[in-house]
Amino acid sequence: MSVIDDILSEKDPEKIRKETETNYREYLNPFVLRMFKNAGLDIIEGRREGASVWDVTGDKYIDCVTGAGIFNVGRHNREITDALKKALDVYDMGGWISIIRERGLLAKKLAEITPGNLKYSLFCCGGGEAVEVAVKLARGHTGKTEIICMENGYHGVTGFALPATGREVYKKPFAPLAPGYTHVTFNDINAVKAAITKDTAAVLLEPVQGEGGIRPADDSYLSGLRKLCTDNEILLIFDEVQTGFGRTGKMFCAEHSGVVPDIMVLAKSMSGGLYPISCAVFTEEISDFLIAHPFIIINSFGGTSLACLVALATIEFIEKNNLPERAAKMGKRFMEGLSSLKITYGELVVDVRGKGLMLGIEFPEESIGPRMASLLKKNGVISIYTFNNPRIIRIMPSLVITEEEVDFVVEAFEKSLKEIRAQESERKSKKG
Amino acid sequence: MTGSAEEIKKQALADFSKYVNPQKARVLKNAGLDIIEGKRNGACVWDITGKRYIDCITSAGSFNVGRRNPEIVSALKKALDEYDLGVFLLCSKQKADLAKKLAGIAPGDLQYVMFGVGGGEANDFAIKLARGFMMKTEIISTLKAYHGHTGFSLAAIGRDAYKKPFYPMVPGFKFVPFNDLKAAKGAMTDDTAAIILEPVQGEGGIHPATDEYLQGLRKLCDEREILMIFDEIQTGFGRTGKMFACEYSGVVPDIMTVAKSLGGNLFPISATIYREELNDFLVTHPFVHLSTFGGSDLGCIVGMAVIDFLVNNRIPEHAAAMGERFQKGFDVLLKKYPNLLLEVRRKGLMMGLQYTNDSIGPRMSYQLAQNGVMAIYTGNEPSVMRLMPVLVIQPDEVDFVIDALDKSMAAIIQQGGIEKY
Repeated sequence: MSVIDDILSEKDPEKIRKETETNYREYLNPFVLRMFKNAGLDIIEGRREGASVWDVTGDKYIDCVTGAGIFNVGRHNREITDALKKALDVYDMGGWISIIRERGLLAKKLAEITPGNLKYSLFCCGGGEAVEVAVKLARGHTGKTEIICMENGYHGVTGFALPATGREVYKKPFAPLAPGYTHVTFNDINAVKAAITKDTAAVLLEPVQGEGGIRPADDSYLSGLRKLCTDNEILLIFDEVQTGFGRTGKMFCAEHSGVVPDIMVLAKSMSGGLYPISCAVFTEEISDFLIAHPFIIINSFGGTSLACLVALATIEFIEKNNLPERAAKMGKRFMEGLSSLKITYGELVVDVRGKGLMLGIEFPEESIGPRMASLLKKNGVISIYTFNNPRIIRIMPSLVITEEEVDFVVEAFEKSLKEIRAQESERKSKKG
Repeated sequence: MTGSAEEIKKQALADFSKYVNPQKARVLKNAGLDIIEGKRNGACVWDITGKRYIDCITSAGSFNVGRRNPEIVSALKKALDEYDLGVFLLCSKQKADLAKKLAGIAPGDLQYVMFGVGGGEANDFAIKLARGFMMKTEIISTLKAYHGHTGFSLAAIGRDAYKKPFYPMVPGFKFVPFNDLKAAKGAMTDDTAAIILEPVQGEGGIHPATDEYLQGLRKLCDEREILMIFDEIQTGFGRTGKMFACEYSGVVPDIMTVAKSLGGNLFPISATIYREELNDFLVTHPFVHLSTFGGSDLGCIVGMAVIDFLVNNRIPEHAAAMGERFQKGFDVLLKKYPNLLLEVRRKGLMMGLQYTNDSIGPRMSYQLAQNGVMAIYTGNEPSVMRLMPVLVIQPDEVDFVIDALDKSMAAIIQQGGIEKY
């Protein structure tokens, strides 16, 4: 029997749990495991399907984390899984230096579905890597160095992406970081204006800040930015890693405002939840730099044959099933349910906001986020707070979620809020 | 997607030029490498028009287990019946299993694992871990080194051409000549966090570190309390005739990065493996480094299948034997073409042909493609041709490559124009 048969045939959940916990302690990170346990999130994923995931013990949860938006097409999507299996009958990764037909086909498809005149693609594996490519293209093409980015922005943790992330805890232990990044207040056009210098290469932002607490940019802000960038010959970069591929109710979030960036960064759901792939899509004008330096950015695993086929199948699935529209509709249903909770639990829910199925609930204090996560798990929902702001719980289910499942999640929120209310009043009466 | 192979090829080249990069397509065409990969098997790849090549590029050592290894393909397919990528924020059994397996095969007391997707990412984390743990900033790297294109790794690359258009880089990196212990010693200061190097420089032109150099560095690092990082991305998983290249010298680094062949040529995955002591930093900063796609459930299953294949089939030993067979052929070529071939540097199946000048590399790529072998020169040193076939290469395939080299060199001599070195 091969190692895979061994692994797949082990069905005893207690044995699996014990072994996994030991291995985490001994070989990964003992502290991470403890944190998961304290947060009630020590789930070991077994079966996955649609909007749901089952713990190895058989408990079912609606997955509202989805790796911050990897599973737009649903967990373990049958059609895309089959596509990858078929691809495995013929392909492997392909040599990175070879001309890969599938890469050309995917690039063509992306040029077709991305807004405006975005045309050329450079493929990588992860979102952070694609952000790095965007920053490099901006510097290489403009010959300038400064990147204006946003407070509370999140763009990844590798070397050129990390300085763009707008939160000190991620950066401090690793200083000095790559210089040339300025941070300004999000949704404040004057702040950007004031930060522009002769050496500004690009403005980089998420159209909806994800880790920053689900904060959508105003349409007027984005159109203002577009004009400001065009007037000052500065490139506009949208990080659509979390917002792309239908998440916000449009194929790309940029479409809400009609603003076309010069570079767009894509990852997460492009993978179909099955195979790592990311890319920077950019205009023909910017491609000049890479035509002069064709091998300056190399990536062994970026845009492999298999990855490109999976991404093509993923886009086909999203289009065929009208997932952006579905996200808009389900998002509306969520919003209605959550808004009524805001009325009922006014003392606990400060705000409910989002776009499509990228939703956030804001609590008045930081302790509530983790407590809610733990209660939600008890009520059959996996949902966690955003990294840059623990007062906000993120709801990003797969876009194939059904109406019944939306209602189930809203109900789980209601039950959990009720429990928090009870805890709070008990605490107060003890104090009193 | 129907049509004759020729039509598909034409369309693919057009799409690639129009939406990916026209210049890349041109450069490859001039090198005779405008190959559109169709069937792949073992050491070979077929252009969609049917021409067979022995793949000596293998994405710089990503395909150690062979092209489309049936065992790994079947493992991934089975895994696809149950799993997807998994959620990186949750506990994953597959991640835990692979971490344990890596700790088992990694040298010495390397024990804890942080997963990533690509090699650059693994090196970025290694450098971050060194800075975070040591609370020092300086990183010593080597001239001509190659560590990847993400920010921290790029800063550690010992070649300006990759870096200059993207200045300013991450500060705090110093460069010393490779295989020069005195230079490394001279560069160490009280603020040095780590030294990073490849046990065999790959892109730099296939330069193996001497055992004495690595042993000397280990001693210096211990004395000065500096961490030692080995980038085994190209050398790992049997490439050099041992599971990891550092086993030759017996030197155990504090941090080791692996990628490429861990993915079995099927699925992107990389890892940074480090000593228990260093985990202190991650215990106080558990979520300071994240990777959505790093160490996914599917990637970990593939990683385990790869390690099992390498161990069960004693692939490192096979690589050593095939390397010897290649060497016999090289010895003949060295005598036969002294005006062309200056030197061969080799460790197992990580082989570099040092030509007498820069122009020969690209011309040899072209000739070899005509003779059924895919090979290119190294990124940082165009006078060196790298040969890194799959490790499951068979004796007759080795002989085929040697024969192709012979024919290609003869053709170049016939064309003339070889300047004396």
